[in-house]
This record gives sequence, C-alpha cells and structure tokens, in this order.
Amino acid sequence: MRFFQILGAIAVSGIAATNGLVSVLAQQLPEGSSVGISSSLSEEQAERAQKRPPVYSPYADRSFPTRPFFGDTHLHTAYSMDAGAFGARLDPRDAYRFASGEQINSSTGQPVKLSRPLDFLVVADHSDNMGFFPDLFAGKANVLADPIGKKWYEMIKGGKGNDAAIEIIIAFSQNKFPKDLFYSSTSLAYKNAWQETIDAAEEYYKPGTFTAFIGYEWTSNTGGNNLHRNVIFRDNGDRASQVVPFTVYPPGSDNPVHLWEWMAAYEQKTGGNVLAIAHNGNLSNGIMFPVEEAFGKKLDKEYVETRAKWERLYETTQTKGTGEAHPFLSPNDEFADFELWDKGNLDGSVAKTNDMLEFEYARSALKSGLKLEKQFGTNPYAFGLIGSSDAHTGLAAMEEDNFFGKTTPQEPSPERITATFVANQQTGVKVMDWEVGASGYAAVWAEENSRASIWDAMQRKETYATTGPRMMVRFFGGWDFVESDAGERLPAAVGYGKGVPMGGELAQAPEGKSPTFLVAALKDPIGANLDRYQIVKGWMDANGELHEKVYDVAWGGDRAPDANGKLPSVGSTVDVENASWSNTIGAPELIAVWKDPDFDPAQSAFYYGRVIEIPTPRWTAYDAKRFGVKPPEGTRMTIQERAYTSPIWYKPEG
Amino acid sequence: MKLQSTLSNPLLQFFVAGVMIFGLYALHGQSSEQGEQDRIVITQAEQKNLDSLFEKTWQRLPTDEERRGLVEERLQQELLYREALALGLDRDDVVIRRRLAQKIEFIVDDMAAGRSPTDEELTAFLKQNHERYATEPKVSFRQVFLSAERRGPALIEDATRILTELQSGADPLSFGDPSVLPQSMRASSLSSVERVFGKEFSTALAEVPTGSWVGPVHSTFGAHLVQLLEKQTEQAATLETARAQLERDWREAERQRAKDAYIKTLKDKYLIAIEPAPGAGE
Repeated sequence: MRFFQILGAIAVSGIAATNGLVSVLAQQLPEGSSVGISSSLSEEQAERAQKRPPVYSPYADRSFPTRPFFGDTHLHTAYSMDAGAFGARLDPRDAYRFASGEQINSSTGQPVKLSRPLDFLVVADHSDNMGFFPDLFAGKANVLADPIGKKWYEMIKGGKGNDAAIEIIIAFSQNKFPKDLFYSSTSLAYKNAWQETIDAAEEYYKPGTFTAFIGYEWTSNTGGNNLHRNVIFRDNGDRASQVVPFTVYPPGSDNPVHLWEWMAAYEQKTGGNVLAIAHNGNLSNGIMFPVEEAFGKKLDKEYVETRAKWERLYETTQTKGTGEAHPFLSPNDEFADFELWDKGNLDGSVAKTNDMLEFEYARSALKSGLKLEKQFGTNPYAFGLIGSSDAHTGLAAMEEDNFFGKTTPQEPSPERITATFVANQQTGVKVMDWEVGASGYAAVWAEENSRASIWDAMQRKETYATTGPRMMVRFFGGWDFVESDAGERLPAAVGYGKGVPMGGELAQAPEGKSPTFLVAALKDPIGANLDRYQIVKGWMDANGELHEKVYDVAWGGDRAPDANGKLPSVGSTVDVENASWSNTIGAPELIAVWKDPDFDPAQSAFYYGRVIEIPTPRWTAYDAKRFGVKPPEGTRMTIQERAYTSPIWYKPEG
Repeated sequence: MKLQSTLSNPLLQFFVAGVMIFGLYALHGQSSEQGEQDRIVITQAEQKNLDSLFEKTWQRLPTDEERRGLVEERLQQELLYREALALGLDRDDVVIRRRLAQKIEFIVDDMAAGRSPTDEELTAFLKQNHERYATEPKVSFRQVFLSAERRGPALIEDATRILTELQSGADPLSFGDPSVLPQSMRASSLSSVERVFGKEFSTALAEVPTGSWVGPVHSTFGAHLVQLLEKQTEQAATLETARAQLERDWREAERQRAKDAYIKTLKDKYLIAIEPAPGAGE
C-alpha cells in the first residue's frame, strides 16, 4: 500500500491520478505499448501491476521523482514598469529563450548564456501598471499628456532612466503615482500586456524539455513594506486569459486576503489552479508573518485556513537577501548570518528595528505557525521553501561566475562593485550593489517536466531552495529509518518506501519511537563539494514556548564534533585574488540517517534540511578579478552556498 | 509591435551620429578661414533648449538673470570642452573612448537589423547551421555507480570486476554504491543527462554502443558502468519548424557580419602597427 500512498501524494489533482498510474505502468511495458491503456485499465489489473516486484524493469526507480527540476519562479522583464525604467529591454520571450539555454544579448548588449539550461521559468512581471512601461518608452500620446509622464519620458530619453526608475518606484510605493497615468486592470493596454505574457509562455512551453509557466507578481508595498506575492498558474493560456492579474491599485487591494479571494474566484470561474509564493519578508518591516493581527483585523480561523490553502511555498532566498534565519533570532546558529538585507523596508523609508525580525524570517514564521495551529487548528505558516532570482533583467543568471545582476545597471561592468543600490537620506538606509546576492533557484522533485507535474510538486511542497548551485538534495522523514538505510544503493527508494519526502507530515507517533530522517545530498556536477548537511528543528513546548536547534547530521572530511558538539569549520581553499577554489575539502555526496535525540511526542515540531557547500568565490571576487577593480572596504568576497529543504512537520494527536 | 525595435531608437542614434560627424568635420575639415574653428556661437535654438530643460526641473521659465546664468554656464562648458579636446584629453579617457566606440557600434547594429530575410536566405542559413537546430538525440540507459570517495584506489579494479559480472548477466541492481543519482534515465536528451551527471559523463555516453554493459565511464562523482538501451537519432529541423528561431539568429549573424565588415574596412583605412608584446623575445 505504500506505493499507492506515493501515487496518492503525486496525484494531488484528479487528472494526475489516472495519468500517474498509466505512466508508471507504461514504464514497465515495452516501448510503444502504452497507447490506449488508460481506457482499458481495470482496478484489478492496476493492483496486479503495482504488486509486481520492480526488479525486472530498468526504469523501476521512476515511479517517484528521480531528479529535481531547477527553475526560477520569479523573473521580471521590460514589461515590469520598474525593470523597464531601469533599462531592461528584454521581453518575456527573450527571458524564456535565455532560461531554456539559448545565448542572447543582454539589455546592455552583452552576450550571455547559462552554464546549463534551466528546466522551468515563471515570468512574473508586476501586475500593477503592466504594459505601462513599453508605452512610456514609446512616448505614446496618453503618457505624454500627463506632465509627470512627460517628465519621466524625457528623463529616460535623456539617459536618466535610473533616476526615473527610482522616482517611479517611490511614487508607487508611497501611493503617489499619478492617477491619470495609471493603467488600471480594466484598460485595453493592460489586457494586451497580459495576453502577450501568456502568448510568450505558450510559445516556449515544451513539455518534457522546458516548462514556461504563466504567472505574475502582485506587488503590495504600502509604505514601502514588502508584502509581494508571485502567482503561478498550473493552467494553459485558455484559462489564464479568462482573467487579468490582480493588482494593488483599484479595483485591486494591498491586502493579501483580497488576493486570496481573487485566486478562489479564478479557480471557480475557470476550473483552473493557482498558488501564491510570498517573498522578501526581510523587507516587510515586521508584517510578512503576523501572529496577532493583519491589516487592522485580528487573525482568526478563516485567515489561517485561507493563507494555508493558497500560500504553499515561501521564497527564502533571492537577490535582495536570504531570509531563512537571522543572527538576532538564532544567536546559536553559526550559519545564520548569511547574505542578509536587514537595514530597512524595500525603499529604505523606514529603518529596521530588532522587534520586527521575528515576523520576517522563514524559521521564526515556521515556529509561529506551530503556535497559531494550536490556537486556530490550522498552521498558516506550514510553507515549503524555494529560492528564485527576482532579477529585473529578463535573465535568470544567478551563478556567481555568470551573474547578470538584479537590475540592468547591475549587469557586468567595472562600476557595479562600487555602485549604490538604495540610499535613503532621511533614514540613512543604504544598500550597496555588492550586497545584492547571486541567488537563487527553485528545485522541484517532480515526475516530469511539465506545468502540471511541477506545479503539483510545488503544491505538495516537495521542493527546496538553493542560493544558485544545483545540488541534489533528498530529505525523508519516518519512524523506521535505521542506520543501514544510508547504505542502500538508492536512498530514494527507501525514503519513499518508509517515509514521507520534504513537505510531508508525520503523525501518530508509534509508542516509544522518535522521528528518524534519511538525508542525502549530491554536489552540483560542476560545483563545489559539500561542507555539511544539517537538520534544523523547531518545536513548541508544553507552555507554548517556541524553540529551535540546529544539528549537524553529515559532513565531509575527517572531522569530529568537539566536546560541546560543535563541528569544526571545513576550512577554505578560496584564492580570492584569482577567484578560484578547489574541491580538496568537503565531500561530493553526503548520506546519513538521523534520529531526533530530544523528541517529545506531545510537542508539535518541524524539521528541515540545510545543506552547506564549502566556501567558493562570491560574484564580487569574479568581478574584482575580471575587471581588475578594487572592491569597497567590507565587501564580502567568499560565500558558502546552500540549499534549504521544505520542512517535514510532526503533529501530535488531538 | 516589437518592443525592442521601438526602444533602440534609430532616429535618435542617427541624429547623434550626424551631430558627431558634423562636429568632427567642423573641427578637422577644411575650414574656410583661420580662426573659424575658434568661433563659439550659442544659437537661439540652443538657448530655447536650455529654457525648456530649466522649465522641466522648476516648472517655470527662467528669469532673465537666470537665463544669463544658464548661457554663461553653457558657454563655460563649451570653452572647457573645446580646450579639453584641443589638449587631447578625450584620447586617454577610458569612459569617453568606450562611449564613442559604443555609439558607432549602435549605428552599425541598427543598419544591419533593419531588413527581413528571404526564405532563400533562411534556408541557406539553416543548411549552414543545421546542427544547431536539430532536436538533440535522446538516450535511454542505466548505470551502476561506484563512488570514488568510498572506494579510493580500488575504484578501477572494482569497476572491472563488476563489469565482467554485469556482462555475464548479473542483476545491476545488486551492485554499486549509495547515491541520489538516478539508476536510469529514459528518453532523455544528452543535455539533460549532462545536467545530472556532468559533461564528462554525457560526452562519453554519446559514444557508447547500444546493448551491452561497458565502462567505467567517469564523472565528477566517480565511476559508472553503463548500459545504453536505446539511442534515438537527432531529427533535422525544417524551415517551417524553426522559422522564428532562424529569423532571430539570422539577424544576429547579419548584425555580427555587418560589424565585422565595418571593422575590416576600418582596418584597411588605417595604417596599423602592433608592436611586439612587452618582454617577448629580445
């Protein structure tokens, strides 16, 4: 019956239930004989086929996802007004071409190509004012009729696109965008831009090879506080074109509750499916993961249930900082201080204070979720983890040695290492371009490379975040994993057979047993060795107090934890000056079984994997070497790239 | 409407080029009388332009006094600019050199991108580059993984021994080391194999015969014994299946060709001497 559980998990939607079964069968039959099976398959036959031992078939291991698909769920093109103003010239078609491995010319005219194609991409342009920018740039009559529109147009034409972009973003985030200029979601121009976005995705969607998702970003940013969400469609253009994206400006709203209503209405109207992924809680100034009230309303059962239903994933790492953990919240976690952006909100208009942090970072939200679950019966923050770029260049180029920046002015140049990204004179919030991270990607354990399969895997949270490299990471939880499982040839077979994958849930603790985890990670084939595999545990005690602890579970090289249980550092082979490193430390692959030594079956908990690479040169080191430039004082030049898996939750009974 | 074509602003670029060429001409051309090149005229048109720039910033016209200030500022800038040119200060400035070179490049690019290719041109282009447009060959294979880290120096010896057993029909699932690498891939393009196993492995796999177990094939992770089960050959593209991409690439190639040709005419135009690399050969 285990096998059916796996299938059940795979087949979140009704359609996949039959298809999943048929494709499993097809893999066990000779080529060409699978046609027509779906109509004549009886339950008996299916049962018999499932019972057959999988030894004979060379494809036996394909009844579950055997390799992760890597992609970006959050990429902007010139269709986003701010991206366009910053100088982005690439459109959604260019973005899909680049992600699928083609060489193209960037907006600054530089030839660029990925080391390897991505498997999927969501072009997620800002919904508000979608289509405004191309018209602004073209100097259309309606834009020039407005004095501010004319001013912006002149600025862009006069080579001041950068200043124009900043004015546009500030006007938008401070609610001062000129009303007459605004492309409401009911305007024809707006609909055209959306249709273009859909057409581009349809054109570049090649099932089995490359998945182009339809999507957009809803950009709630009141007072400069980032509550942005990306909305991703499981569906094709026939459904997506029945609606226009939800906006913040009227008839939209800046309240996520209304986005969820829009999502529900879409599904009801079209019979399709959408999910939302929030990002940059670190720039929300304490409002991304509320625990008491949101938008002036006390959290209630409905809020937590609705949020849990629509927000299946959280974008944990991207160019504007990594938001897994913060040293202030996790003082005992030596790896928490990683690529942080914690100076203020998105536009730097309000500086950060420590009391905000708890409501901004993924780990603390996962913890708060346990408490809210106790209170309301549902955990609103039981999200899976992914990374994505949020690049505004049309280029999902997030490799340290091939980083094309967050915005067009940050495309490779001798100047970018010393330039300023955000500077707010009033608050003193200042972020330099070098602080922008070459991060990240989303990894999804899906059966096949298609919209339905990848989306379904996102929906069941079988995903992990990476800060750029494509390491392969497994994380299984169950009650019965034993030491020797780590020695099995195919850990995944044991993992799915005896437990649940990342994103899953453990319930009904058997008497006297503790949760066990089978973990495995393989380095990126062209990347650096692995330093260690850690498990992060969060839990709530009987008094409702929240706790967290980080365990080292597997590591490379000849190291042993000291008396305090601290594993020594892996060291570093990085030669910053030459931007090089060697794989002489760490390990290419880590596999282990771990058992929670402090388990209490009465306490709810979550566990997630964190895989850390050995140190490698950061993009700033490649820039310094290639352009022969001197980085400003304090510039980080090395990085320990990492992956974060979706958690597995333990839920006590009752 | 193609966004990019609107954005590249050919008119503006031509205008800039015109001004530039005219300017160069004025400086170096056969000026009618001595001293002509020392004349500076702040034209009415220019003053109007100064006014409107001012107005954009301040939302009103400048006062007479302000206008005098603007003109004086403009004049001073022109004086300094001319002097700087005369002293050749533009020549050793990296930013100015790059900017000017870029401007010419834009103009050449734009002239090249204007025309649409004919079907004949596209067909010829496809013929020349047919490999780029063919669908990749797809392979089905299974593999037994032997970890370099676990086996150390015994790796190759172990591989040879296990290979013999596999070739005489032993069950592949009973060999190999633990790994998250898939034990098989089915109907997968070589590039997707590369993404999982790395380039060394996928390159070797492309050369492996179908049917029997062979190896070891090496990867960044260790050694692999492989059995290629099936190889679908690549499929050639046609004008119909690849038209959009062909057109894009043709334009790009055309742009590059125009640029190369232009550079070549420039090379012919100048007498070029490149001195031996410093320190090379006494």
